[in-house]
Amino acid sequence: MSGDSGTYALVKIAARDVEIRYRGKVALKPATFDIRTSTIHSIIGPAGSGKTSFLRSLNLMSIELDGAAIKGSIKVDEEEILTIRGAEKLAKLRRRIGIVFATPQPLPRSIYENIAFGPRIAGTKKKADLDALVEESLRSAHMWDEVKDRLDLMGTSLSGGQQQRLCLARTLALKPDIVLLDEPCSALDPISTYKIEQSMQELKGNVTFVLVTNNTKQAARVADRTAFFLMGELVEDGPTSKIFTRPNDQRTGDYIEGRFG
Amino acid sequence: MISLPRILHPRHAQVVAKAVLWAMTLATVGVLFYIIYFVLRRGLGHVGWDFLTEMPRRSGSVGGIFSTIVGTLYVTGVGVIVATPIGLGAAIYLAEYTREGRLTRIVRFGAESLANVPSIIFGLFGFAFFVTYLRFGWSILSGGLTLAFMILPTIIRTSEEALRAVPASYREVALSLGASKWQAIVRVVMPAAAPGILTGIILGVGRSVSETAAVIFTSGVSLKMPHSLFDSTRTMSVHFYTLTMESISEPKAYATAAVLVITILLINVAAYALMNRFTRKFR
Repeated sequence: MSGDSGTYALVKIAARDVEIRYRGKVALKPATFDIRTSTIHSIIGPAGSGKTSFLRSLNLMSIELDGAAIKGSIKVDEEEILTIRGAEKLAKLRRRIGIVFATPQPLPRSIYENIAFGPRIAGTKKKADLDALVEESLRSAHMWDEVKDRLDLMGTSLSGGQQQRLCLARTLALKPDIVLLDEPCSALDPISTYKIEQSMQELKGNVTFVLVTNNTKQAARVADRTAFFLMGELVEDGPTSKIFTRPNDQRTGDYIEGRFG
Repeated sequence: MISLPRILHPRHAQVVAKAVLWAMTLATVGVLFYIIYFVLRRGLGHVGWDFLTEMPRRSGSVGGIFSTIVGTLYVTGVGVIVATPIGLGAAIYLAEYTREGRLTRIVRFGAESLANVPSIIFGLFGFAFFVTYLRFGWSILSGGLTLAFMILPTIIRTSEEALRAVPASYREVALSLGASKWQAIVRVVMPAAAPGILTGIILGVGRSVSETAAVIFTSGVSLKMPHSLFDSTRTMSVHFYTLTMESISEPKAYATAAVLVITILLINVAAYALMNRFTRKFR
């Protein structure tokens, strides 16, 4: 999708001194780290650590909806995103950087229409194109076989796990090159969790995943790299195996071993 | 603490209180049913297909009420067609584009005040403004516009509540999928709020159909079949009023009232059915 022609862009998202405030109150102290192309990068940490604030800043929803003020720089493919304003440019950014929310949020319409919603707004009108997108997205989310015969079923009538996979499929239908996941499996059964993790593993060749999770085991299972946030501070960031076995900071080890949080 | 002197044993007081409250509730419902029964018993016998489809003759003492049914439809139609876009626009602005603050309070206070203005004042305003100043004369247009102002607050309030009842997450999802705020409102929020908005419109229709004072001054009392927006017409409620006040025909008056009451009942049933569906959906 993005300008990977010729040079291999190692860094997908570069966060430099990113500070997030809500009405003067600091949610994230200046944080600097990179998210590499075609990896799953998890962000772990207890509630109130600033991880969701950071995630929602990557598609600027924190600014538009939550009233966040952000300092510093976030570059995606070497382009600054924090200065992006205007409905059209924001829409373009969000087609590139999709998000799956913590609780499954299907819209009150059919499975098909849920998935076709984004592409339709982006200008895809032909039925054949939409059909193909719907099938491809549902296959990517490991859901096609379950629902292929009942695409006109209301998205809201599915089970929680299916709803969340529908939401993942809906995000994938826009062919994003980054997908943000905000504790996507916090309310899911183990099988749906497994299927979502499987999807991420399979898709990471084309998509960079940023996974905020409360579940350290999930981070250990799927993430290539992991960042640990604590009370609005980026404590450390590194390869998942290192974070989980030889962390630089005492607090990281304490959190992972469940001594607090 | 002030306590009432104990006259009864608490257990007995409980029984008495229950009985009294039950009687009060029964009285409320009882009055409604008695009014309906009263009107229908006197009127329903004179209502038939002929009554609904024949033109009124000799001031309405003979014949049916066809032209007043048509007049009611036209005046109500103009009112609703004018008030719906304005009311919906105001509701969208209030619910989606402003934060709660001084402005929204002023607008809401204005709308509430408008809702409490007696309808005869609306009638006088309509007469002075539409009938004479704008020279629309006694006409469907004057009556419809006057009704539009009258039902505007109902439509604004119910639409605003319906829009606010739509979960915030729907808006977030739409934005996250590349929709603009306006697209989110049009494609996601409004369809979800549609039953609630429709309820407000139906309540507005009900109020228009039953209104007398505001239309008698603005649409007049002509019994002829109206052919344009600038023709005078007589609505069913004005017809009932005229038949009664001028002692033209009691049976025809009650027959008109019966048709009116049944119409209003049907409208309210439709409104409540929609409202129920709407509230169930988001629970």
